[in-house]
Amino acid sequence: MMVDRILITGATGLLGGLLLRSLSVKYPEADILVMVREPKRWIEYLSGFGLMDRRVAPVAGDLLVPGVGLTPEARAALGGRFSSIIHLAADTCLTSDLEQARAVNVEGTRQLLEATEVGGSPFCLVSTALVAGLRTGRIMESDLPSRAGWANAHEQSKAEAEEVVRSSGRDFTIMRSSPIVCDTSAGRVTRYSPLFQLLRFIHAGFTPVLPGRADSPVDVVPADFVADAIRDLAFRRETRGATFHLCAGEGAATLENIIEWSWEVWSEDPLWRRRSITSPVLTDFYTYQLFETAALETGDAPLVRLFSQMGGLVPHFAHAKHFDTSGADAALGYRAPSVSSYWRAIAAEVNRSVGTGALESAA
Amino acid sequence: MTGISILGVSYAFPSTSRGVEELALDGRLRSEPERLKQAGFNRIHIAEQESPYELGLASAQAVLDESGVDPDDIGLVLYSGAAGETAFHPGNVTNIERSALRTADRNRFPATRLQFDLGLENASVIGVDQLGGTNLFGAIRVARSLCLTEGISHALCVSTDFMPTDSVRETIFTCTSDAACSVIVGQDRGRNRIVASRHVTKGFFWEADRLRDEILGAYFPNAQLIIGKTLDDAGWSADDVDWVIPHNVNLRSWELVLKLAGMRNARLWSRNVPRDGHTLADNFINLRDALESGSVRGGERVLLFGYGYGAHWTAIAMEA
Ligand SMILES: NC(=O)c1ccc[n+]([C@@H]2O[C@H](COP(=O)([O-])OP(=O)(O)OC[C@H]3O[C@@H](n4cnc5c(N)ncnc54)[C@H](OP(=O)(O)O)[C@@H]3O)[C@@H](O)[C@H]2O)c1
Repeated sequence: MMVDRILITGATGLLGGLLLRSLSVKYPEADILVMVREPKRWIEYLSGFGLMDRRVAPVAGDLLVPGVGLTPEARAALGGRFSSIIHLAADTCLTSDLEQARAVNVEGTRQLLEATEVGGSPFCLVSTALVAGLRTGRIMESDLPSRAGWANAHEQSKAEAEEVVRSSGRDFTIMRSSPIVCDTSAGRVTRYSPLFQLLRFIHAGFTPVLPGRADSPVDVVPADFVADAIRDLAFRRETRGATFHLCAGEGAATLENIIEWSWEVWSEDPLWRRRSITSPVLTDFYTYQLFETAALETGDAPLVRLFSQMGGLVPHFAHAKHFDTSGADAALGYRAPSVSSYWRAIAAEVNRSVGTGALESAA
Repeated sequence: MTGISILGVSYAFPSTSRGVEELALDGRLRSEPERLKQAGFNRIHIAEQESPYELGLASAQAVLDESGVDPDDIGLVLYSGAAGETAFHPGNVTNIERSALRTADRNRFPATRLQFDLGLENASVIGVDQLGGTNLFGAIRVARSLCLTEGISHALCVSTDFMPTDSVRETIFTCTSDAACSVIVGQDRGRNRIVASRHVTKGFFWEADRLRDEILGAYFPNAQLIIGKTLDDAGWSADDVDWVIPHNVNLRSWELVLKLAGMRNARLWSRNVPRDGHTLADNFINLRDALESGSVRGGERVLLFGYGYGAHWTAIAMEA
């Protein structure tokens, strides 16, 4: 398919930046419109990216404002035909409440669909694999989001956003990414994900328990894989209406793996080794919740902070899920790198950034 | 049957006790009294008139009298708790003369005085110290070992645990009492045999206040580990444990330890938590009361687990 005009939201985000770079390499002739909240900041951002000479133009838009806050000119620009609209912009904070998360992720998506309705362009929603919520077992790409409850409002709102897209009558593709843990498949990290904060707690020995079993899958991906996969799936006619898992799938690690590999790496640091930190006890979800309740009951600030920061993420360890990636594998012809191939780099980064204080200040 | 048993336990509390509300009013708690009540605490004992030594001596005399062990048969005294001059002053004496430390008076040891006052002429004396809430466990561990290797028939372990009267009485959601407790350990007489005991020390945690959050994080995984190892050594499964005799810390934490250690059938003997609060010898005070009240019956499998600042995790598996 001829790719000549692309609209991206969320281009200032982690994934957005990588996607933009990837698209401008693969489609150097395409005009790329990026919807951003602050076009002034965008110019700065773009020069930092070394993309000044590309055909990338900003348009001001805010998903929290009715009609996406578009000026008449911007509305006209967005009303045209795009090879694809790639919607990444989202409230990605795992501790947002449902109202905040819905405002950007559900209502914002609805508003964007409306604002771009005239052109009727194909719409790609970048969603999260965790729309499976607290389901367990094998999760297929064709499965609709969870009815089994949620670990956080973010995933619930993303599930509702999928529903908005599915029922919009537009041509759509949904791409569900696993949690992103690093920028590149070599384990390079420029932004610390919530998983990093959890690893910081474990590294410090603050985490007495984790819910889950030794064999609970930990399915995470590097951002460059996700960006390339979005690039390669966004413009395909034949897969319109499909949902893809951009997940580690068969290459996922287990809870035991990540603890073991992290311990191996951290133990290479004599200072860390001498602290003889014990790894968290893996326990059932009920016992984990008892801990959480007991911690909250004490009203003790560090404990409350610990459990509230872990709360959005760790319930997934106790609700073991295997993400089936056969649709994405077939369509892409490549897979996400296995977690084992880069986890040691992640663990080393945790140890390094704890040492410099960078990880704590990013919390 | 061969082995080493606990042949007697006696304890002495000071005459004054205070409720948690009273302590809160005096500024001697960190948390709200309601939270501490939820955690199981109600009253604690505070020594205002008594010295550690007096209570230690009283508990030791009592255990000798009650157990019927001939003082001449005590081959070893293990003393843990208030050391040097502090042992001889009541808790409300805060300005103990530093000059005493500059003379040979610094060698006025409560441990040897105890041997003298109790007339234990055949006993050698050792001080066991710096194990926090596991002091008495440590003393019993050494006693058991020396009984086995040196053929000592009976050892007296004495713990006297005091804080200055005006101290803050709460550490990590737990209220602490002053108390003394004495245990006689000796060649097995068919009851209360120590089947296994384990102890782990993690010196990284030596700064208890600064590393409070790390200690909270480490407490449970290490509790699970040490309990698991002790049960393995005893040849018991977690389901075999009938009773857990606790140290009297926050009851919520015990619910969690029992779950993590998988002791599904074990009952927690927690009667004394609201009455006495935590002391450095509480597992043994509780053991005595649990046996005396008939809760724990002969042949039942009992696990004692304790934690001590420093930090130490320790457990004893005992057949009642
Ligand atoms: N990162 C992951 O682990 C992960 C995993 C699965 C799925 N995803 C999905 O992938 C997408 C991108 O994730 P990311 O990690 O790259 O996100 P991110 O770094 O947090 O960036 C979020 C982007 O959304 C924009 N945005 C937020 N609120 C907006 C609003 N009201 N109006 C317009 N733009 C708004 C932000 O713009 P500003 O710069 O103006 O704030 C930013 O560009 C999201 O849809 C997310 O749900 C991410």
